Amino acid sequence: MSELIEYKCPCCAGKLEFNSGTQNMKCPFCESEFDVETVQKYNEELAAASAANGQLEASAGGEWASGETNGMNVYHCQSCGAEIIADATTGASSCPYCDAPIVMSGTFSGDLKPDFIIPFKLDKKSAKEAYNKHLDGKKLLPKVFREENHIDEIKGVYVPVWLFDADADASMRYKAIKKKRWSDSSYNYVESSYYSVARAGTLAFENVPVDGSSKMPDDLMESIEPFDFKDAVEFKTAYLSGYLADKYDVSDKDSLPRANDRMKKSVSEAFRQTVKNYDTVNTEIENINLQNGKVKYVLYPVWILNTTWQGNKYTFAMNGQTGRMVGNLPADKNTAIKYFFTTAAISTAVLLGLSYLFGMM
Amino acid sequence: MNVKKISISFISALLLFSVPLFSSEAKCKLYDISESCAAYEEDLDYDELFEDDYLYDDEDSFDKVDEFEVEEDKDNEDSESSKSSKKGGGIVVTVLICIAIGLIIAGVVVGSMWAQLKSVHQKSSASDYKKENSFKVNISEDTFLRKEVQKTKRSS
Repeated sequence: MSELIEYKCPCCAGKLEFNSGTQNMKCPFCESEFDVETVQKYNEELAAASAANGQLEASAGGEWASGETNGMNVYHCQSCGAEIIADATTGASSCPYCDAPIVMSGTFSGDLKPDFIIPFKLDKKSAKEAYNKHLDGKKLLPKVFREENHIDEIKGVYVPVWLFDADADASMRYKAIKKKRWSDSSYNYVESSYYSVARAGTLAFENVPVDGSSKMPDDLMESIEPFDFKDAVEFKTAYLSGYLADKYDVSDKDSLPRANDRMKKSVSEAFRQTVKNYDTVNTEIENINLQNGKVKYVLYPVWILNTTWQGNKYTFAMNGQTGRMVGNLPADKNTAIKYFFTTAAISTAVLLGLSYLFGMM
Repeated sequence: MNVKKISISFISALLLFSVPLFSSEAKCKLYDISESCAAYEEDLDYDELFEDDYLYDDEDSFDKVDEFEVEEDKDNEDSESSKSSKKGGGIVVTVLICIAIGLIIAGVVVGSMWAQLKSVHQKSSASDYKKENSFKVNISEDTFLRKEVQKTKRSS
């Protein structure tokens, strides 16, 4: 059975949550604020005291059959005693019965402990405002997406991400053409001058992110980039309180090819931009080597909202640090057809009017 | 400013005002008034145009003028009937052009509304993660290979 952590307020014993505005742990009941390290230390002392008093949680019920709990972990909520079954990758969640924020300590311990975390900078209110702004001006959007009670389901999630550093060593060769045109009374002339262009050099990258969770679509995570690593802090489980969190299920080795592709593309573009003042440039040889690779395991903050419409799932994500909001929206086809014919009718009427005014009819 | 909105407005305005321009060219061709469209061409011999019609000191000039007037009346009658049939055809063409451009404008506007709904795109490169001042070009050589000149005869 995995261990659950709840962070209790030293003043009123309420459940502490990480506050993105003040970057401290805050009690939603008595509004007391505490430093993350202080809360962590207090919690450890509390846990030690409980163990010394012999306060052990007892579980009830039958036993799981063999293989039934594969890929799942079973937890007990320390507030209400509810048994929670969660995915093996879940690191933080809330009790579905008493809504207490919970952190599964085993998910982020030992080799699975993240190196860094970027705490949430923007709160749920900012996320909802960003979502409403994202919907503004979208005339073809179905009305269900604007329903207030649905928007309230937006959740803060820490997404596991692999960050790659590397140094690129590149050697490129291009075929370039300069063209000169002129004419006389009888002929048009085109003079083409052919060049062989060589470029070689180095370019370094740091913190190139690749999504380490199969549950989070890669293109969605890349769309809300960039994240500023300057706000990253050393990982502590207290930061997860009040939010959902998952550990990685895509390894760094599986994520490496994606990071390599992005870095190589950047190197190619950087050197191509140094070839100037030609009319045509074609790449002949491209040789890019990536060396001195390093990888870090980090949790990135993301506000997520899932909506289902006509059997299709739509996911919206907001960068919990910068506020960038993305998400593909469906189009209401009936509204699109209505706009098409209305616009066509108005444009045609205006054109006919102009033609009449200019004496064309 | 939204670049997409600006470009769509520009395309729509361009299409909107292309109809009068297009129709004025069509009108020139339909009415066959290319001479008056080219009224200031240097090749026209103005002396020749007025040579026979306005020599009032010539005794026969009044007869000539009368003949000219009779011929002119006949010409006017013929040209008026052809003008009305050509005018009808011109209106139909203008209406069809207006409808076609209206449909194109509607397609461009609704297409842009549809494109606004898509905001999820995979990043192709890692340009946001380049280390500052780490880009160094050690070799930069442009070697001239050869030159070619193509000449094509101008159409007169």
